[in-house]
Amino acid sequence: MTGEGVFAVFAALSLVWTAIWIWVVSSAPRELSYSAVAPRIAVLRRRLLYGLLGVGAVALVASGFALPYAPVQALVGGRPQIAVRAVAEQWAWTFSRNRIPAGVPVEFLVSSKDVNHSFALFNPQGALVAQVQAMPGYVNHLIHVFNKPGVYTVRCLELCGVAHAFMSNRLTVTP
Amino acid sequence: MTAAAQIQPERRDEADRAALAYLVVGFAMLLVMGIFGLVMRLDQAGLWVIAPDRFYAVMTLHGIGMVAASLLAAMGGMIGVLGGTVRLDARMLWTALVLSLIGSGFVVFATLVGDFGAGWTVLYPLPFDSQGAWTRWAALAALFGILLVAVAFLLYCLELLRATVAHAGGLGRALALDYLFSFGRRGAASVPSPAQLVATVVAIDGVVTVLAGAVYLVPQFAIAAGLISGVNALFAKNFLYLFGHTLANLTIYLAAALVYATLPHYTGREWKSTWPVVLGLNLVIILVLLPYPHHLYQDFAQPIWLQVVGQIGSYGVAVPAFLVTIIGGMGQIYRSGMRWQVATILFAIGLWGWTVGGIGAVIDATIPVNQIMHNTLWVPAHFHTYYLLGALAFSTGYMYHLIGARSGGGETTFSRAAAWLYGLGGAGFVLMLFVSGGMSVPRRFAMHIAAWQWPDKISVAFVGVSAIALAWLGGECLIRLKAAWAGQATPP
Repeated sequence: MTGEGVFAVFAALSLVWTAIWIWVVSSAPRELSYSAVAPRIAVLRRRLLYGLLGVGAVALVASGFALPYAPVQALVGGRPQIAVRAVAEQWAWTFSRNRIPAGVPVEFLVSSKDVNHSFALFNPQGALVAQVQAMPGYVNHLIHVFNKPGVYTVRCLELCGVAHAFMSNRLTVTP
Repeated sequence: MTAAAQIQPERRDEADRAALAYLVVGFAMLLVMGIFGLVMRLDQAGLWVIAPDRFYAVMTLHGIGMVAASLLAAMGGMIGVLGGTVRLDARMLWTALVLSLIGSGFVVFATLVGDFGAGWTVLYPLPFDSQGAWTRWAALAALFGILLVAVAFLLYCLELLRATVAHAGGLGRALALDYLFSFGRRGAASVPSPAQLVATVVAIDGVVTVLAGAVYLVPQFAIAAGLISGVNALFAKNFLYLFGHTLANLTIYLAAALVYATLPHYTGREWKSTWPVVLGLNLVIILVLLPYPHHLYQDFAQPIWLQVVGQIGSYGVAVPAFLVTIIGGMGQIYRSGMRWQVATILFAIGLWGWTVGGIGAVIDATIPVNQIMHNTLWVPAHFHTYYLLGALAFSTGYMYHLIGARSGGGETTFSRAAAWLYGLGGAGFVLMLFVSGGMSVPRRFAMHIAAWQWPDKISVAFVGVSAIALAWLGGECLIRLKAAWAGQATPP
């Protein structure tokens, strides 16, 4: 899943909704008694309720298998084989290692020395592939498998002060 | 005797004027805060680059100011639609307005003078750990300003709750619980209107929300005073987002009530508190408090069950909003025979925007999706959609309706064109934010690399269209304001 894929789903749903909206808005000048409309609305509400509950339940269950949290990722993708410590401070990232092999589960142990930060991995094409918050007083565990080699950029995605936009470092993923 | 006949004109006149004050002040603040938003987009587009410290100060003011302004406008609208039917204490309403303005003043001072730039989230411990970018006094001024805005909302909610409960004859009646639990067999005659139900629901949740805000804000002052050394970052974050997220959401519910009360004037169709409407609005009391953990999905230290509650809550709260407000509103419009006027155009735009923003929000509230969308421009994309094209459209539509009704002023083809253009410009603006989110462009970056800037540049043009349209509608309202203030009470 990529941000572009998410946008495509959003755009498709929004276009369908916009078409329905235009249809309703353009119908306004042609009058029909509300006594004829109200029962249809009641039926529509009931059907939509069942539909929304069904879609929501399916999405909830499906997303359960893709939760990014370490216990779930360890079950789905296997136990991590490499550990990388990532420490954030205003406004730099320090890693215990900068070179990582592709295709194996890597566990990032992410922490912060000062304020909240966010450890966000951007692939060589610039797409965000995973993230986790770096919080003072906590070590957050992110497990990720790098499928493609290349130079990945780690950016901070949690506002951390005036140089927030410049807080980045690189990780090289080797074949 | 009908309900309309029971309304006393002097009570409605008093309510209308308080509503006008809130709406006009809120709308004026929105325009100014919108200019700060434009400054941010110009900076990110590389068209007018400002220093990062100024950017974050402007961003902080824009964020807090927009929430405060939208809230004021929606609060005012609710005062207007309750009108003479529910007796609100005018002194309490005016006190809340003044407190909110003083609070906003503190935020203006903290940001524009003190360079405070920790964002609307004022996420602990950043306010007190800026590496010299702003002083502790600037942070305290901002936090105190937010506290005053919250206290103002608390006063308003307490007054709303007191008034609706007194009007209905008890909290159970104000929420139509007898009607609800008898599946509509009992109490149908005394069911409050949808707007009155929303008033009670928002008032209850508003009190809870402000209490959550106090749990977050009070320790910040204790830290500044040296009484405690710090607080747990995760604990603080939970209460911050319970406060901030819910407050922003309640704004939209208040604004939606303006549509329940006003759209029927144009369509000639009564918007009744049917059993599904009563059920939906009562469910909102709980549901609106549940989604906030979606702000903490990437805080992996948070218990997983709470993250799942956040996803269920985010999905769940969308259901009554869509089935009650959106479908109800579409049912009002569908083949109603009405002519399009400024207020109804803005209400229709609001129904579109709340839904599109909701689609973006629900997608992002799915935990695995959030992994790649959180804190990208997708987030401001969705909340700008249901703020700018939802809550603000509803509130502006109601303000135009109220001023028009009290001043007797008509509208022109230009007015209606401006209303449509507002929607068009707003839609283009938020579309570019969604595009940027899809491109993984981070939010809250003072500087964008060249590859991220093409949507920024296009969005500036759309902001311009929307701003001109809003300024036109605002100008018309301003011209008629004196007549509206002195004018006749609006008909029920």
